[in-house]
This record gives sequence, C-alpha cells and structure tokens, in this order.
Amino acid sequence: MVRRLSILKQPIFSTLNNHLIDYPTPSNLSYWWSFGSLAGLCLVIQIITGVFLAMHYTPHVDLAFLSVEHIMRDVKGGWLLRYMHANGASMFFIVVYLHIFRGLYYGSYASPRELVWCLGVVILLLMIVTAFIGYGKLRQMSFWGATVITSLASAIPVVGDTIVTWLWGGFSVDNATLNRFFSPHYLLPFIIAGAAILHLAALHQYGSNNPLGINSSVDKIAFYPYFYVKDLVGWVAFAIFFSIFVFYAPNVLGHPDNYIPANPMSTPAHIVPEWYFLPVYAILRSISNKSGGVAAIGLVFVSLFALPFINTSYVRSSSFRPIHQKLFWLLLADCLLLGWIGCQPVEAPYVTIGQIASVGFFFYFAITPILGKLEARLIQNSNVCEDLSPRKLSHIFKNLLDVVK
Amino acid sequence: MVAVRLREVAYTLSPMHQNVMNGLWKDAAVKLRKRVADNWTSALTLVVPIASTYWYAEHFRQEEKLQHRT
Repeated sequence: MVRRLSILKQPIFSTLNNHLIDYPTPSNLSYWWSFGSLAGLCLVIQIITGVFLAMHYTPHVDLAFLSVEHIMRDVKGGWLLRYMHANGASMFFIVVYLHIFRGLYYGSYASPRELVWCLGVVILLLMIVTAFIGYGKLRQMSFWGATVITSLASAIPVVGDTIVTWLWGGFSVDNATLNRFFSPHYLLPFIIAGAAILHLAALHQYGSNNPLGINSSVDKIAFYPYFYVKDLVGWVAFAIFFSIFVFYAPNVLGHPDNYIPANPMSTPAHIVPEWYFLPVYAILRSISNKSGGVAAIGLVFVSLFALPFINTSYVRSSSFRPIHQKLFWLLLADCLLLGWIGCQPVEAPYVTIGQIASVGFFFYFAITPILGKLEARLIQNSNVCEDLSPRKLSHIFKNLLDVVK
Repeated sequence: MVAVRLREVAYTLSPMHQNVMNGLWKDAAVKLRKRVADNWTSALTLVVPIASTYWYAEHFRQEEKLQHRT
C-alpha cells in the first residue's frame, strides 16, 4: 500500500486529492481525452495575457488602434503578449472543437453525462460571446464584422431595434460600443472559469467516459501520475503547435484588413468573421431572410443542447455503431465545408453548397432519435439475435445500462 | 461520487523488468496495415465529400468564366 501524506487528508487538500490525485480514471483513455485539460490551459493563457494586455490597451475610439500598435512596438514583450492572446483564442477554439467532436464520436454526451454536455455547450456559448466582443472594434474587419453581427439583433420582433441601439450605445459602432464590449470581455473569462468548474464537478459525479463507451468501474487507475503525465505530453505537443503560430505565422489565422484602422465610410468587399465563427456564419448566410438566419443560428445551439435527450442509442461509442460512425465523419466533413463556404463570397455555386451543407448539419441531429432504434433493430435482425424480440433486446440493454450506471 | 476500487499498480518491479514498453516501432508495418484496414472507409467518408464539393465549385467557376465563348 502506498503511503499517503497526511496533509492530503486535511480539508481543501482532501478535495484536491479526491479530484486531481487519487481520482479514479478509466485506464483506457486515449489522447483524445487530453483536450479537456488543454482547454483549461488555453483559458489560463488567455486570462494571463489578457490581464497584461489590458494594462496597456485604451478602449477609446481615438486611441484603441494606436494603443495596440504601442503594445506591439514599445511595450517590452508586448508583441509576444498580443500574438499569444490573438493566436491563443484560435488555439482555444481548435482545442474545444476537437473536444466536442471527441464527445460526439464516443457518446460522452449520453446518459448519465447529460449535464456535463449541457454545461459544455454553455461554456462554448460564453467563449463565442467573449471572442466576439474581444475582437476589437477599431479595425476595418472587426468594425464591420461587429456592425453586421450586432445588427442581427434587429431581427427580434418589436424590441429588436431598441436592443441594437442599446448594444451599440448609440446609432452605430462607436466609442460607447468599445467600452461596453471591453468590460464584459474582461469579466466573461472568469464566468467561463466558473462554468468549467461546474463542468468538472458534473463530470466527476459519474466519472469519465472511455473509448469503449462501457462501464469502466472494474478497471480504474489513479489520475496522478498516469494521466497527469499523459496530459503533460499533450500540453507539450500543444505548446509546440501554439509556438509555431505565435513565432512563425502570427497573422496567418487573422485578416490583413485588421491592420487598417476602422473606416465607417468604406465597407470591405467581403466581410468575414474569424475562422472559428465561419461555420455558423455560413448557416446564417444560407437563409436569405434575416430572422430566418438568426433562428437558424439559435437552432444550432438548441440542437447541441438537445442532443443527449434525443439520443436513443443504448451503445455510446461509435466504435460499435457503424452507421453513426459514418454519419459522424459526414458531419465533420459538413462542418469543414461550412467553414470554407463561410469565407467565400455570396454567389453561385457557394450559395447552393452552403444551403445543402446547412441542411446536412441539421440532418445529423434530426436523424439521431431514429438512428439508435434503427441500429438496435439491425442488431435484432442479424443472425446473432434472431430469437430476440425488440422488447427483450431493449430489456437486456437497459440492464446493461444499469450495470454501467 | 461513485466509490470504486483503484487498481493498485505494482511499484516493486522496474519498468525494464515489467516489459511495459515494447517499442514504438515494433510491428509498425502490421499496426499501420491494421489501422488503414480499420479506418479507410471512415477516411473516405470524410475526404470524398470535401474533395468532390471543392472540385465541383472550382469546375463551376471555370465554366462560368468560359461562358462568354458559347
């Protein structure tokens, strides 16, 4: 028996021990399970670099652009802080998107982890809002992107125009907008941190999923040192990937028009948001009606929230769900296509492709309730389970689930 | 939190004696063949829609440019 330090039994330390050191973790977790801790690392990087940037940034319409140039040229290490913060946002979204798709593939959203999934979607929403309001408003692309997206609020019946005026703090994106966006941009990351703690608490209620998607209570090992080391490998690989962008290609994920001060009298030919918003932007643009586009964006997040509750499959992991596996890869292809369409001009053939891809995105969620039952029926109809009725099969799977829980 | 028994890992033997790491490149060809055999359909499901859509879009734009010749 390994001796445990008595300090680990004291209050606070015992909580840290139970959740970070001796925490029972499935022994078969792959590197796809490292993206959770990586997302936490990205949040910490954004908060630290953001706090130091805020010491030198001036949220005033006449000084904002120049203050960023001051940070880049005059502040010691300012260029590094700025590039780490800008590229750190992209890294954060890459990590979170991979984390989400891992959850989709292995059924981590399925019962009993519905709350974990829903809190994750809340974190994603908070991240999107934070990134949008932190994009800056006094650069050409960010000014016009903010104008386009904030004016979508006018699609809300009755109070839409009032809300837009309130968001802007006036009749266009101006000094008031800058201040009222900068303040929550500083606050929201701490809300995200709180939501992340809730997300972990919900996860620790039932424990992590695993690549097989089955109950892992029979084979768990301590989080420390095994997954501490495994996550550390992931962190080092992430640091290398991050450093390539920060030091060798710091502007490749951005838009060159953002080096032009905002000009309300000159609209860019193609207004595009940052790359991590492109798939949702493509869905928005695929519907010509403004209200319809806004409703479609809302439907994206409603679908994500509803996924654990519309899932009817008794099997979690796509390793044992051949039809869902193919649909997953089609969904991923669809999301990548939507991202590509989002940065294309609104003309043929991109409009049609975007509309088909948008339908394809929602098709995945629409077919989820049917898919579980279809796969169960296919198992029942196969030679292996010839003598089992659907009722008996459901009963067996339910008992298996009770063992899993 | 669900109470589970943690699997106790033996600390008495060194990793060399336990033969826990058999080598990264051992049977690499076999492992690669198996990975390709298991996943080629998934890879095609991912790549074919993207490649074909991109090809179609480029083909459409090219035809559009040549429209004046008809």
